[in-house]
Amino acid sequence: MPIDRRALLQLLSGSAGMLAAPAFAQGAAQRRAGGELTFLISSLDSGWGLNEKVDTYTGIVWGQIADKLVHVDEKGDATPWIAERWEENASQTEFILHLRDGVTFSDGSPLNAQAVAANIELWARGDTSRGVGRLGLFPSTTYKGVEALDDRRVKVSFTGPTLSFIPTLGYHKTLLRSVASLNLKAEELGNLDKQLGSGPFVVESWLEGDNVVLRRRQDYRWGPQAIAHSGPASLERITFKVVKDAAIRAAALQSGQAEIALNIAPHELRPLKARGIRVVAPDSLGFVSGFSVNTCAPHFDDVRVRQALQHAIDRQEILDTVFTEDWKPVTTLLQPNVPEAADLSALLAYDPAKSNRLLDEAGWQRGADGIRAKGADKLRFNLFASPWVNTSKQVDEVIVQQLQKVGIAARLQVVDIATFNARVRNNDSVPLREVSRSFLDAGVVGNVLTDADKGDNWFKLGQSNETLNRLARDIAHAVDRRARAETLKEAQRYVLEQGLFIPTAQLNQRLYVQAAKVKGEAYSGAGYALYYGAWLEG
Amino acid sequence: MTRNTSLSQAARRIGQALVVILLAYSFTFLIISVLPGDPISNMLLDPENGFTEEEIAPIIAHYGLDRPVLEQWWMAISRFALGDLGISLRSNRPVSSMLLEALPSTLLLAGSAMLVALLLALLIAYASQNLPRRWGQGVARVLPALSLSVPSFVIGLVLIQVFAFQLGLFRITQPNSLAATFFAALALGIPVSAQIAEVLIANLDHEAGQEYFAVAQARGLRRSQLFLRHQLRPSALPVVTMIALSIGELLGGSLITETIFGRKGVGSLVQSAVVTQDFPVLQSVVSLAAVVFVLVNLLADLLYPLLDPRLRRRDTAARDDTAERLA
Repeated sequence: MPIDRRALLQLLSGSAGMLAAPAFAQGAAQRRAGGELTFLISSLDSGWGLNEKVDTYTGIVWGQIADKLVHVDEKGDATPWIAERWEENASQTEFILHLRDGVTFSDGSPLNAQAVAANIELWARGDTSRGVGRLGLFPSTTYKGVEALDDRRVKVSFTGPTLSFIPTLGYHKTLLRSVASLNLKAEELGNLDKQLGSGPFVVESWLEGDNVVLRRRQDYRWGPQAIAHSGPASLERITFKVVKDAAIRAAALQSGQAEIALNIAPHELRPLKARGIRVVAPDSLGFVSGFSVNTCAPHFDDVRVRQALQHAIDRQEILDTVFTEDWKPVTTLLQPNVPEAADLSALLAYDPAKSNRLLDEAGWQRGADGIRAKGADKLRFNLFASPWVNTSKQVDEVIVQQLQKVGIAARLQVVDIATFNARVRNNDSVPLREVSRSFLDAGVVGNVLTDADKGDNWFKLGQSNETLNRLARDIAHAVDRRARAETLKEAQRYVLEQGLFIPTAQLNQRLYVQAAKVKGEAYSGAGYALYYGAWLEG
Repeated sequence: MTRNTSLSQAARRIGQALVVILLAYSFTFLIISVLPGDPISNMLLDPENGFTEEEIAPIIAHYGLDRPVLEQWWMAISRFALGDLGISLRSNRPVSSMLLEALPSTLLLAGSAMLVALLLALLIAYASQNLPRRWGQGVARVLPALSLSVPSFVIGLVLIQVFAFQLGLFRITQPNSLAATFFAALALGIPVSAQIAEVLIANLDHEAGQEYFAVAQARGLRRSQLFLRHQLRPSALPVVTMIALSIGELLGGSLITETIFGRKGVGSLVQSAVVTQDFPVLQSVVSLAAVVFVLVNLLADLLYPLLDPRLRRRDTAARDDTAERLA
């Protein structure tokens, strides 16, 4: 459209600041029961089905309706929730979960070992007869089976060490649903009235793709141990309402028509903060935003070209241009809060002189047009912005300019998901593929290095690189977190040194822009909000 | 005999309508099938999930998306012919339920927008003929062109900013309230009113130049009588045609208006179905739009003779001719 909606709204809202919610003192506030919270969200399009139907948006709604076995915090530490404790054998192949007593789903049916076993089985294997895939992050490759030992004990077995199992139970998609909900017919899976959880809120009403109104569950008394609250939730009601336009979400927040808006464009955050609105960017476990490098792409089998790219990117300029102070500088390929993240800032230093030297050494000479070439072969490629990350296009625009300075011509392509999958996914002429991936256990890193054990093979090296093979094997077979952390640090160093991954910025996929009166909310390790302990001040 | 002719005409119209609907359904299928990827891959091949193509193949097979396009089309159209709109690939819910949920809101919005458009068009047209000063009439004649040049989303944003956020007359979180519906209808109706007003003004001018108008004027009829009886009524026919044509504008415009005003309706259903390539939903909505077009055109055809006695006489004469020839 020729007219920028955001600019128009900003222009029109000249005096909207007068209506903005005033800044509240952040002092010790008294918890207040009751109140209704309105949460503006950009989409509820993925529906209410099982496993991978839960997306980044519906995951926030599900977090209030359904419980999880454990709560995983921003450091990746798992603490009891529905599983009040757990045992694991030394080889990390068997786990026994001890469940809390007296937990029920919203229809009154018990959340017992049989229900938990049914959930785990569906996460691990899916049910293709109803079109339900397995859960992507669940360690299905080593999964052997699940067994209810009695009403309150569940045994889960794996064929190999699976350190990631317990943290994965706190993932935003490992939601506990009633057995009846799991067994619904294919055409009923998306009916939210029939999808029952055991969470602190129940569904009062909903409209497909538009809104969900949640009401507090009065008999709830099994919240996560990590949250300093007990008994039913304080909030009486939460309304999730889809407002697709980010500028309208921001304006509605300013005028007091909502308490929280998800994902406002970074450049709009400063004026909002000036009006007393809080921006919460919860630390999220996972990879940072960046590019995995396809070594099969023309010219990118040369480590000097990859390293030249690594040093040609000025990450501070990206932060200053696209983002705000809510984004932290990246130091490695993992998010800053991942416990295993190493500080490898030196390997990511902006050094265009070094990039130029490396490219000269590799035989790429600057032509009259400023683009480097080897004979008739120019150093240029298509750079595809990720359709899954809102800020990708803006970041890539900066990167294209930075690469141009060292004589690399990257042409930015902005496409939709379908085109991206068709043109980028298995296309070996595309050297850089933008990555946005969260996890709750850093063991996932081992799975992307090679194609062993259905590995993601990010760098298209298969199993040809002995160092990567060893690192992937050691991470997969680790039974001790501390020892594995050392291997993970070695893997990060090797991947960055080899220019196999080009980090760009911290990945903040969920940015909660909220009125100062919202208090007491908590966030999971993947940055999903929990409003069980939340209340509204004043 | 006359009755038989009418029946065969009706049967022909219904047959034509069915063909249009089936073509619309098939054409949508064709367009979607040439797009890259499929809805399941688009959903599951998110890098967040870490799936391979092999892993999602059974899911694609479950939905029959791995079959040849012609087979998929035949399966879809066979279901459709029996009244089964299928299951949404995105939400796992019957498309018929989703349509039934979305339709009332869109009908209310489109109906209100049409009402607003007609009222505004009449006001502008009346002003263009009857304002006491020449410059006033000039302003009224410029208004439609001005309205047409402002996109409905701009009108919508201005209305939201002023009336929702500044004056607090409605809440964006309650888009189905009376006030919110009125402003959404205004945003959608203004561009349509401009088109109708332009046609109406041109026809009113034409009628004002006719002899019978001068005679009526000479008889000393009041201005309002002149306008209603000798200008507006003969000008109504093209307006009816314009209304029928505007249905497409309203359905298309509802997509943007519903998105901006946060209303759940057929427009927003289409928007998310396009993004996710949810083709059972898309095909059903396009077919529904075809049904609406067919019905509206039929209604317009039926209205013409009621509005213009000449058409009634012509129709009767034609029927008499046919009867005579057959006798």
